[in-house]
Amino acid sequence: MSHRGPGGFLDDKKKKKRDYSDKILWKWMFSYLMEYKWKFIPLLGFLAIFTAVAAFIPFLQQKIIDDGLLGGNWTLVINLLLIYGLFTIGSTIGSGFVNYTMGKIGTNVIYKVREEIFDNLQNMSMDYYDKSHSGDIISIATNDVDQLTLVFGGQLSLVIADAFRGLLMIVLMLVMNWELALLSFLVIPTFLILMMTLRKKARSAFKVTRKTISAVTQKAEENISGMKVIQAYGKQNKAAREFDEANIKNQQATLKIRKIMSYYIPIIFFVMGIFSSLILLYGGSAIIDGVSFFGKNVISLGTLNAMSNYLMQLFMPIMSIAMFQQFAEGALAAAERIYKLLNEQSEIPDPKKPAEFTDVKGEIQFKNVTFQYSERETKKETEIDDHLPESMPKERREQLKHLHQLPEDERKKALSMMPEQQRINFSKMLHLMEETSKINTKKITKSKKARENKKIKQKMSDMNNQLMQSRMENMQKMLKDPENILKLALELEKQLSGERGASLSSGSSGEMGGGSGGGGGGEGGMLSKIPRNQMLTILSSDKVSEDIFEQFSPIVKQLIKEHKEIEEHKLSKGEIIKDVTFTIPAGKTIAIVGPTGAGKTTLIKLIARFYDIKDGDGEILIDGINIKDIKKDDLRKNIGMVPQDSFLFTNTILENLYYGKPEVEEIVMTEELIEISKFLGLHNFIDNMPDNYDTHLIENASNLSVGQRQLIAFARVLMVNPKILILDEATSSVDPYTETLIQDALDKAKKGRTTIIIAHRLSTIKNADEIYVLEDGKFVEHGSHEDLLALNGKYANLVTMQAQN
Amino acid sequence: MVKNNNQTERDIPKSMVVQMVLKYAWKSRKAFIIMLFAMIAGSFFSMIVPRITEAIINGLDAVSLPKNELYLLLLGAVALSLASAIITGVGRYSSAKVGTKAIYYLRSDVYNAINRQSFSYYDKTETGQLVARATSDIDTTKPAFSMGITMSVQSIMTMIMALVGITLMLPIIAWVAYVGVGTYILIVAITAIKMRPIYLESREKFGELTTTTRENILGANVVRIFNAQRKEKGKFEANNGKFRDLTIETIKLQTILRYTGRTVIGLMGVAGFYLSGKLYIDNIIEIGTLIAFIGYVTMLMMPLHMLNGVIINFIAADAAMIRVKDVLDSMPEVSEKTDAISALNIKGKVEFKNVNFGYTSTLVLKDITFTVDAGSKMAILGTTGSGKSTLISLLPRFYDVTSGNLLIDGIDVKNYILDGDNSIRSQIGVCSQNIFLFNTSLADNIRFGKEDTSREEVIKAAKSANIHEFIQSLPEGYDTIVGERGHSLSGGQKQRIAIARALIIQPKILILDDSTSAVDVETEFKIQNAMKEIMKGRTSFIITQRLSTIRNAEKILVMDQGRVVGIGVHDDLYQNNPLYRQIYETLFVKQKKIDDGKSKVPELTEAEQ
Repeated sequence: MSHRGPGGFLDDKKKKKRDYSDKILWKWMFSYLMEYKWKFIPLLGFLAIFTAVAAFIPFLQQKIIDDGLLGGNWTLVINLLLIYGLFTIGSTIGSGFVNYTMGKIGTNVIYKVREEIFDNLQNMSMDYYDKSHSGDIISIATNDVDQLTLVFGGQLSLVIADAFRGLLMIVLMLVMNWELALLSFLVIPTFLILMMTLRKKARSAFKVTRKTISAVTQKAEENISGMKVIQAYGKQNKAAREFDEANIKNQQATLKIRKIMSYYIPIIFFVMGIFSSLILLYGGSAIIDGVSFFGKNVISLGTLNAMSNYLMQLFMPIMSIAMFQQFAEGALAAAERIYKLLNEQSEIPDPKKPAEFTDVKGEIQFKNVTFQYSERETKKETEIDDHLPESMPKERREQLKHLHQLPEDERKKALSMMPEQQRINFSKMLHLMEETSKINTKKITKSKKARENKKIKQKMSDMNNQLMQSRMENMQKMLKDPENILKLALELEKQLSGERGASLSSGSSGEMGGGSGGGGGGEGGMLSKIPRNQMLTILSSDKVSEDIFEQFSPIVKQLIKEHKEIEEHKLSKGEIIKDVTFTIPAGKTIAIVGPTGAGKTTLIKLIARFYDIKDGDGEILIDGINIKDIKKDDLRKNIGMVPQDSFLFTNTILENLYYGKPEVEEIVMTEELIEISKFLGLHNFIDNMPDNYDTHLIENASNLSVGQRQLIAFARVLMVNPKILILDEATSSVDPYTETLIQDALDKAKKGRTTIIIAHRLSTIKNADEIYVLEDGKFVEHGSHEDLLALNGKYANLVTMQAQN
Repeated sequence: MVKNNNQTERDIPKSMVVQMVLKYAWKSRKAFIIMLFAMIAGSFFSMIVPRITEAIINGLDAVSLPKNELYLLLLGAVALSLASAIITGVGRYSSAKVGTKAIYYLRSDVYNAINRQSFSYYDKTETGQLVARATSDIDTTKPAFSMGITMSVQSIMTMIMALVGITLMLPIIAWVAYVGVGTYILIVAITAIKMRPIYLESREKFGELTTTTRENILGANVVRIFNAQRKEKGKFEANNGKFRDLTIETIKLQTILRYTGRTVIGLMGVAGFYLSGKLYIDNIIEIGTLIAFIGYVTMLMMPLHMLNGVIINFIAADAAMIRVKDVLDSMPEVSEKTDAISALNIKGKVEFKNVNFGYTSTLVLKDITFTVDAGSKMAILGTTGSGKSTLISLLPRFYDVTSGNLLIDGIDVKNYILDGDNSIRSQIGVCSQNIFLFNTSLADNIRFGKEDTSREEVIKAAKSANIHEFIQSLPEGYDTIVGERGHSLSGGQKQRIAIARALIIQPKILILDDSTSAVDVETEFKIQNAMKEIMKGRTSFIITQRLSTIRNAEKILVMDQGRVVGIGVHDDLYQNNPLYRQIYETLFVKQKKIDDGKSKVPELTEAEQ
């Protein structure tokens, strides 16, 4: 991020590039207005007429002065004044009405956009929420919609009307007196030049302001959300100082831009003053001389006055068109994000012919289920990333991206420092990357784009393999000399204990010197430039013999060991669940145990179809029916799940408890509720809350302890009485005594239900009919508590550990 | 739902905008005064210009104007508009200064007001709401400060000057301008008063709409589990519809404000034309005077339009300003004494003396008395909601006791410095259940309490918390950005980072509040081992459900319903304390008969009371 440097200007241009063309976006926005076209189009017409009327007023004034007053015709004056009055009333009331109606249409459109966004979010699969930052989604649904309000809220029509008025004024001025008109028109380029210089000046200043204000927001957000931690560590004053720094920077940046603006507006007025003086000069001279510069034209006093008036009004249309351009830019960006969100497909559709799913018994069957999350989108990655082969190591990816962004000459310099083979390969790849960028901007069909991109990706991949090959050769060459290896280990150790210590991110682009990454240098100086990960790859290779390994320092040894483990993990290709087959008979209880990251949560989420298994990756059956054939509503109605991090709504406790129940006019306490709540030991603490069951929970229910939240989430599920009950670490934060209550509740609740429990607490799982030990996406052991103890394997190990504890 | 009704029914709060704008503008009074004078001078100059036009036109009409006099007059006009431009520029710049400074001060005040609050305040208020106070609410009030100040001053000055110009030139018909301006101001005032409550309500509805949207995004999985999409949709639709209706209502009023105003001003122009025309016909005035008069009337239009905008700005800022004022006015419950002493060299002896505490009027802790020696280890045990977490949160003064005393090294905690490197808080390391990580690198998160910590020490702490290996496995290692916008971590990982964070500051008192609940058994075992070493020489409070920790503690405190029901060592308590035995056995011994346990506990609590 640190090395944008000379590319700053380019950056700005890149930002403007969108996934969708302006045309598509405008078309989309207008599609909403089209619903009102029988209102909207006539309204636009009316608006044009009303503004036109307003433009006639200086013209009328001229007639009153010249023909009426100077001509001594009082009746004409009265008549014209009547018209003047009617025009005034008509145009203002008329445009008021039009504006109101347009505002109304706009509000209705926004209403609809909001609704569509909400509907789409509701239909989206959990996958979408996983791969997007919730903050971003929220921002689209709120801020970006607000941006659109500007377009639909009448700005657009105002601009159209203003443009129309400007044109009409120009015509009227020419009709009245072409000489003075042409002289006045000189003000237009003057305005344009002024505006352009302002924009140029303001642009960079605006950029700074934007940056500083987002720094302020970020600091405020961060400090306030973390205020408890800040106070707990006694860092209040420090945090306040940091905030003040950001705040004052913003103030200074804002003042800078407002300084420019402060002088800009008076300058405009000054220019208008000069031009009205010029008109008076030209017209006055003509009147004194009795003849104008071009001879024929006689200039009247009324004309002189009207021209000055028009001159004053000419600025408005120019200004509003210029402003529209600016805010259209923002609106388009917002429109694109909304459009994208609306086009995001709900990935899990209901089956076309849903299977009957009533009278559920609750037998659950996994048949050879393999599952892997669709690849997560990380925000940092650009589109270029999509074209780099997946097999490419991260550091090379970063390096290429970095080189790609460098200006031509710097890139050449960097390339020239690389070893021969690498330079050739890198140059080729960079060339391909250029091509990719070109394809993306080309105006060709999507499928064609995809095809070309695919070709390039293949080429890249080949080249990457070649590079790997050459690197391997280099490495082997190097590894022949134990001296080199020891040097490398030493270098690694030095880096680890160095003062700034571990910038462990081998890929952190800021530190990527031009010539890094070349594994084969072998010289001492070059060693320090090898990325950390690559050093580790070299050091952990089989070529490093046992006795050399022994010579490494403990810290290096440790790192190497860890590195090997991670590499192994990576090889699992991101499959979270691997070919899992098992059956839970209806009404039985099973427990799943296993280390963090084994895939326990994923496994159960599959049952509720938060994610879908890809075709051919096995299937999940409930009562013998593939869950993909069941309507999602029907399926979930029968599943009660208490997830790890249970979200409670900012509402009363009571309403939270009733969340899963069908909606009713007014929620009343029922026996059932109190029974469940007593059952879980919930009743007592709720009784101690300020408003008992009507206590309002605040955001994230942070006025409750984690254990209390878990209990409410548990009770909430029991209220709906589901056939299949799934508990995912549902009681990890409640105290042991309460847990015995829950155990008891669970024992009763289990009756007639199929229950799946994920827990690490032994007492919770021991009573299950069958215990499954999940490790790395596979079941490694299963059986009853006693069976597994007898087996003396992983489970027994877990138990002993807990007993020791 | 009940709450919402209350909100719409409650009295509409007093408007704060004008008062606040003036208060904060006055903070840069020098610039403010310069602005006033410059604006007066600027409008004065522009007031003279129509008089020059008058002279020229009159001269032209009488065909008596020599050319060089025309040049001279025009030169004068240009000079005047230049002077006016420069002075107005200075005025606008000063006003920009006033405005940006005012926003700076306001933002600063709001942030500091939030910053100095104590935990009870954060408990009551949603974080998002607080963030909004310091960011978006201030942004909403911005126009009132920036354009608001400039425009209102400039328009009022120009208006006054135009009226003065009219009065000086044609006093007989000046009344038409007074009537016009007066009517206009009346219309503005009436609409503004009508618009305010509607605007306030629409903002409130907008807030609800946003909350619904947010919760549906954050709680997407819960909504799906409970099949509540339709229900949520209904809630959303109701809010969305209400908001739409209110928006249309505001647009209506805004339109009335804008366009009736324009009609009035337009008609004022017509009337002015008629009256001055009559005077001209009657030969009382010359044509130039008429044109200058019309010029003044036109001059009046601009400030009136501007005032329009200012009013809308002010109303829009109003709701936000009221909320901001609310924050500014709230006083912190926990604060530092003026003669507070350093806590740098405390040993860590902790004494509770008849401590009572309640978040509200209901007491959560009742008559707590016990002592923990410096450097020893106390385990706290009790049922959910028995007050364990509350108890320990009194130590770093997250809350102040309602009555009784809490002493550290024999000195009341209220006497120690509260914030900074020598504060009591800097001597206490807390790992709580809810962990907040900042949006910085893992390394910076770990060394949050002591920024000058070296990388090795960070790694050492991470190793003790058994998170080093995991951090190493991340592609960017210790430089991985975490927090809300960064890499997402599991609950267990967060807990371990929080432990490392607490260890870094080498606290005299260490508090672990169920800090490994989300960590798997194996990892926890490792952490426990590492912690044994670390806890040496530190007073430690541990809320836990792990037996080994409990057994190894030098003292065990058993809590139930806000009271201490037992204190002692394991063997003692096991023998003599039924609740302790109960909890212990449920943890350790084979599943007990639940009925048995159920009947025992209520008995015990009754006996205690």
